[in-house]
Amino acid sequence: MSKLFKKAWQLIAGDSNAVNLKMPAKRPLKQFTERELLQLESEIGSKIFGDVPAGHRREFFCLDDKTWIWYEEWKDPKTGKKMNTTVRYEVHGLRILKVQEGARYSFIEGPELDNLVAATTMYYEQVARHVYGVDPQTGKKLTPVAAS
Amino acid sequence: MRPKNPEILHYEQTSSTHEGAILSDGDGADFHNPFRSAELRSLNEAQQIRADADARPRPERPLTPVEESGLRVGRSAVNTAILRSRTVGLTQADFELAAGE
Repeated sequence: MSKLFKKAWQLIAGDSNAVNLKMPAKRPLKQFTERELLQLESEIGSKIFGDVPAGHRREFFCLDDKTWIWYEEWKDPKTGKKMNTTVRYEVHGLRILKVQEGARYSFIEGPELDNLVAATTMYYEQVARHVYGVDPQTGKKLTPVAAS
Repeated sequence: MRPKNPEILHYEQTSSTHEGAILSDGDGADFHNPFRSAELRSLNEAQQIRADADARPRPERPLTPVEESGLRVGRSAVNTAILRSRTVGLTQADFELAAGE
Protein backbone atom coordinates (compact mmCIF):
# COMPACT_ATOMS: atom_id res chain seq x y z
CA MET A 1 0.00 0.00 0.00
CA SER A 2 1.48 3.36 -0.96
CA LYS A 3 2.35 5.90 1.72
CA LEU A 4 -0.25 8.31 0.38
CA PHE A 5 -2.95 5.70 0.34
CA LYS A 6 -2.04 4.59 3.85
CA LYS A 7 -2.29 8.17 5.07
CA ALA A 8 -5.67 8.56 3.39
CA TRP A 9 -6.91 5.34 4.92
CA GLN A 10 -5.78 6.32 8.42
CA LEU A 11 -7.53 9.64 8.04
CA ILE A 12 -10.74 7.96 6.92
CA ALA A 13 -10.81 5.01 9.24
CA GLY A 14 -9.01 6.59 12.16
CA ASP A 15 -7.27 4.65 14.87
CA SER A 16 -8.41 3.09 18.10
CA ASN A 17 -6.99 5.90 20.24
CA ALA A 18 -8.75 8.67 18.40
CA VAL A 19 -11.56 10.62 19.98
CA ASN A 20 -14.75 11.04 18.07
CA LEU A 21 -14.48 14.65 17.06
CA LYS A 22 -17.40 16.99 16.74
CA MET A 23 -17.10 20.73 16.35
CA PRO A 24 -14.31 22.07 18.52
CA ALA A 25 -16.35 23.92 21.10
CA LYS A 26 -15.03 23.94 24.69
CA ARG A 27 -11.51 22.98 23.85
CA PRO A 28 -9.73 26.30 24.05
CA LEU A 29 -6.25 24.99 24.78
CA LYS A 30 -6.10 21.85 22.71
CA GLN A 31 -4.16 22.20 19.51
CA PHE A 32 -5.75 21.19 16.23
CA THR A 33 -4.15 18.24 14.52
CA GLU A 34 -4.16 17.72 10.78
CA ARG A 35 -6.43 14.74 11.22
CA GLU A 36 -9.00 16.68 13.25
CA LEU A 37 -9.09 19.44 10.68
CA LEU A 38 -9.51 16.92 7.91
CA GLN A 39 -12.40 15.32 9.73
CA LEU A 40 -14.08 18.69 10.15
CA GLU A 41 -13.55 19.40 6.46
CA SER A 42 -14.84 15.99 5.47
CA GLU A 43 -18.07 16.52 7.41
CA ILE A 44 -18.73 19.35 5.00
CA GLY A 45 -17.32 17.47 2.02
CA SER A 46 -19.56 14.45 2.55
CA LYS A 47 -22.68 16.62 2.16
CA ILE A 48 -21.62 18.43 -0.98
CA PHE A 49 -23.03 15.75 -3.25
CA GLY A 50 -26.41 15.74 -1.56
CA ASP A 51 -27.92 13.32 0.91
CA VAL A 52 -25.94 10.19 1.64
CA PRO A 53 -28.14 7.13 0.93
CA ALA A 54 -29.30 5.21 4.00
CA GLY A 55 -26.70 2.71 5.12
CA HIS A 56 -23.93 4.50 3.27
CA ARG A 57 -21.02 6.40 4.69
CA ARG A 58 -19.29 8.94 2.51
CA GLU A 59 -16.15 10.98 2.86
CA PHE A 60 -14.91 13.59 0.46
CA PHE A 61 -11.92 15.68 1.32
CA CYS A 62 -8.78 17.39 0.13
CA LEU A 63 -5.89 15.23 1.29
CA ASP A 64 -3.15 17.67 0.31
CA ASP A 65 -2.42 20.35 -2.25
CA LYS A 66 -2.56 17.83 -5.11
CA THR A 67 -5.05 15.16 -4.02
CA TRP A 68 -8.79 14.81 -3.49
CA ILE A 69 -10.26 11.66 -1.94
CA TRP A 70 -13.71 10.19 -2.36
CA TYR A 71 -14.58 7.28 -0.08
CA GLU A 72 -17.89 5.47 0.06
CA GLU A 73 -18.85 2.58 2.34
CA TRP A 74 -22.06 0.57 2.30
CA LYS A 75 -23.52 -2.82 3.04
CA ASP A 76 -24.40 -5.06 0.12
CA PRO A 77 -28.18 -5.62 0.47
CA LYS A 78 -27.95 -9.18 -0.83
CA THR A 79 -24.95 -10.52 1.03
CA GLY A 80 -24.85 -8.09 3.96
CA LYS A 81 -21.16 -7.75 3.28
CA LYS A 82 -19.47 -4.44 3.93
CA MET A 83 -18.34 -2.84 0.70
CA ASN A 84 -16.25 0.22 0.10
CA THR A 85 -14.60 2.10 -2.65
CA THR A 86 -11.96 4.80 -2.68
CA VAL A 87 -11.27 7.10 -5.57
CA ARG A 88 -8.31 9.41 -5.62
CA TYR A 89 -8.22 12.45 -7.87
CA GLU A 90 -4.68 13.66 -8.38
CA VAL A 91 -3.63 16.97 -9.90
CA HIS A 92 -1.04 16.29 -12.57
CA GLY A 93 -0.05 19.58 -14.13
CA LEU A 94 -3.31 20.83 -15.58
CA ARG A 95 -5.01 17.43 -15.83
CA ILE A 96 -6.81 15.41 -13.20
CA LEU A 97 -5.90 11.76 -12.90
CA LYS A 98 -8.52 9.46 -11.44
CA VAL A 99 -7.03 6.54 -9.55
CA GLN A 100 -9.24 3.63 -8.56
CA GLU A 101 -8.63 0.32 -6.91
CA GLY A 102 -7.27 -2.36 -9.17
CA ALA A 103 -4.69 -0.07 -10.72
CA ARG A 104 -7.21 1.73 -12.87
CA TYR A 105 -6.00 5.15 -13.98
CA SER A 106 -7.61 7.67 -16.29
CA PHE A 107 -7.49 11.39 -16.90
CA ILE A 108 -10.99 12.67 -16.45
CA GLU A 109 -12.95 15.06 -18.63
CA GLY A 110 -16.54 15.84 -19.58
CA PRO A 111 -19.30 15.77 -16.96
CA GLU A 112 -17.14 14.00 -14.37
CA LEU A 113 -14.55 16.76 -14.52
CA ASP A 114 -17.27 19.43 -14.45
CA ASN A 115 -18.77 17.82 -11.36
CA LEU A 116 -15.39 17.63 -9.67
CA VAL A 117 -14.73 21.31 -10.40
CA ALA A 118 -18.09 22.21 -8.87
CA ALA A 119 -17.54 19.97 -5.85
CA THR A 120 -14.02 21.15 -5.10
CA THR A 121 -14.94 24.80 -5.56
CA MET A 122 -17.89 24.40 -3.22
CA TYR A 123 -15.74 22.44 -0.77
CA TYR A 124 -13.12 25.18 -0.56
CA GLU A 125 -15.74 27.90 -0.19
CA GLN A 126 -17.64 26.10 2.56
CA VAL A 127 -14.58 24.85 4.41
CA ALA A 128 -12.99 28.30 4.32
CA ARG A 129 -16.11 29.83 5.87
CA HIS A 130 -17.26 27.13 8.26
CA VAL A 131 -14.05 25.46 9.40
CA TYR A 132 -11.39 28.16 9.06
CA GLY A 133 -13.59 31.25 9.43
CA VAL A 134 -12.15 33.11 6.47
CA ASP A 135 -13.68 34.68 3.40
CA PRO A 136 -12.86 32.30 0.53
CA GLN A 137 -12.42 35.15 -1.95
CA THR A 138 -10.25 37.51 0.07
CA GLY A 139 -8.73 35.13 2.63
CA LYS A 140 -9.58 37.64 5.35
CA LYS A 141 -10.93 36.47 8.68
CA LEU A 142 -14.68 36.58 8.96
CA THR A 143 -15.92 38.54 11.92
CA PRO A 144 -18.36 36.50 14.00
CA VAL A 145 -21.85 37.95 13.84
CA ALA A 146 -23.09 38.91 17.29
CA ALA A 147 -26.31 37.23 18.35
CA SER A 148 -29.17 39.69 18.47
CA MET B 1 9.74 31.02 37.91
CA ARG B 2 11.43 34.19 36.78
CA PRO B 3 9.34 37.26 35.96
CA LYS B 4 8.64 37.80 32.30
CA ASN B 5 9.58 41.00 30.59
CA PRO B 6 6.74 43.26 29.38
CA GLU B 7 7.46 42.56 25.74
CA ILE B 8 6.85 38.85 26.20
CA LEU B 9 3.74 39.42 28.25
CA HIS B 10 2.41 41.71 25.54
CA TYR B 11 3.23 39.06 22.96
CA GLU B 12 1.48 36.32 24.90
CA GLN B 13 -1.62 38.40 25.38
CA THR B 14 -1.93 39.63 21.83
CA SER B 15 -0.11 37.43 19.41
CA SER B 16 -1.52 34.32 17.93
CA THR B 17 -1.49 34.91 14.23
CA HIS B 18 0.86 37.81 13.62
CA GLU B 19 3.69 37.02 11.29
CA GLY B 20 7.07 38.08 12.53
CA ALA B 21 10.38 37.11 13.95
CA ILE B 22 10.85 34.62 16.74
CA LEU B 23 10.92 36.53 19.97
CA SER B 24 13.83 36.29 22.29
CA ASP B 25 13.57 36.49 26.06
CA GLY B 26 15.99 39.38 26.18
CA ASP B 27 19.07 37.51 27.31
CA GLY B 28 19.86 35.98 23.95
CA ALA B 29 18.05 32.67 24.27
CA ASP B 30 15.07 31.91 22.08
CA PHE B 31 11.86 32.36 23.94
CA HIS B 32 10.08 29.07 23.74
CA ASN B 33 6.38 29.27 23.14
CA PRO B 34 4.89 26.06 21.79
CA PHE B 35 1.90 27.85 20.33
CA ARG B 36 4.15 30.28 18.55
CA SER B 37 6.39 27.45 17.32
CA ALA B 38 3.42 25.61 15.88
CA GLU B 39 2.21 28.77 14.27
CA LEU B 40 5.54 29.52 12.65
CA ARG B 41 5.87 25.96 11.43
CA SER B 42 2.39 26.16 9.96
CA LEU B 43 3.11 29.47 8.28
CA ASN B 44 6.28 28.05 6.76
CA GLU B 45 4.39 25.05 5.45
CA ALA B 46 1.68 27.27 4.03
CA GLN B 47 4.27 29.41 2.27
CA GLN B 48 5.92 26.29 0.88
CA ILE B 49 2.63 25.00 -0.51
CA ARG B 50 2.02 28.37 -2.18
CA ALA B 51 5.56 28.44 -3.58
CA ASP B 52 5.21 24.91 -4.97
CA ALA B 53 1.89 25.81 -6.58
CA ASP B 54 3.33 28.97 -8.14
CA ALA B 55 6.28 26.99 -9.49
CA ARG B 56 4.09 24.55 -11.40
CA PRO B 57 4.67 25.04 -15.14
CA ARG B 58 1.92 26.65 -17.22
CA PRO B 59 1.82 26.70 -21.01
CA GLU B 60 2.14 30.04 -22.80
CA ARG B 61 -0.88 29.31 -24.99
CA PRO B 62 -4.45 29.75 -23.82
CA LEU B 63 -5.64 26.81 -21.75
CA THR B 64 -8.09 24.30 -23.13
CA PRO B 65 -11.40 23.92 -21.25
CA VAL B 66 -10.14 20.67 -19.73
CA GLU B 67 -6.92 22.33 -18.56
CA GLU B 68 -8.88 25.28 -17.21
CA SER B 69 -10.99 22.85 -15.17
CA GLY B 70 -7.89 21.01 -13.97
CA LEU B 71 -6.38 24.30 -12.89
CA ARG B 72 -9.49 25.11 -10.86
CA VAL B 73 -9.48 21.72 -9.13
CA GLY B 74 -5.80 22.19 -8.30
CA ARG B 75 -6.35 25.73 -7.07
CA SER B 76 -9.07 24.63 -4.65
CA ALA B 77 -6.73 21.95 -3.30
CA VAL B 78 -3.88 24.40 -2.85
CA ASN B 79 -6.09 26.99 -1.15
CA THR B 80 -7.55 24.38 1.18
CA ALA B 81 -4.14 22.93 2.04
CA ILE B 82 -2.84 26.41 2.86
CA LEU B 83 -5.73 27.15 5.21
CA ARG B 84 -5.25 23.81 6.93
CA SER B 85 -1.52 24.11 7.32
CA ARG B 86 -1.93 27.57 8.81
CA THR B 87 -4.30 26.13 11.40
CA VAL B 88 -2.57 22.88 12.41
CA GLY B 89 -1.05 23.35 15.85
CA LEU B 90 -3.20 26.33 16.74
CA THR B 91 -5.71 26.14 19.55
CA GLN B 92 -9.34 27.12 19.53
CA ALA B 93 -8.37 30.10 21.68
CA ASP B 94 -5.75 31.19 19.12
CA PHE B 95 -8.33 30.75 16.44
CA GLU B 96 -10.98 32.85 18.15
CA LEU B 97 -8.47 35.55 18.92
CA ALA B 98 -7.52 35.65 15.25
CA ALA B 99 -11.17 35.87 14.23
CA GLY B 100 -11.63 38.88 16.44
CA GLU B 101 -8.74 40.83 14.90
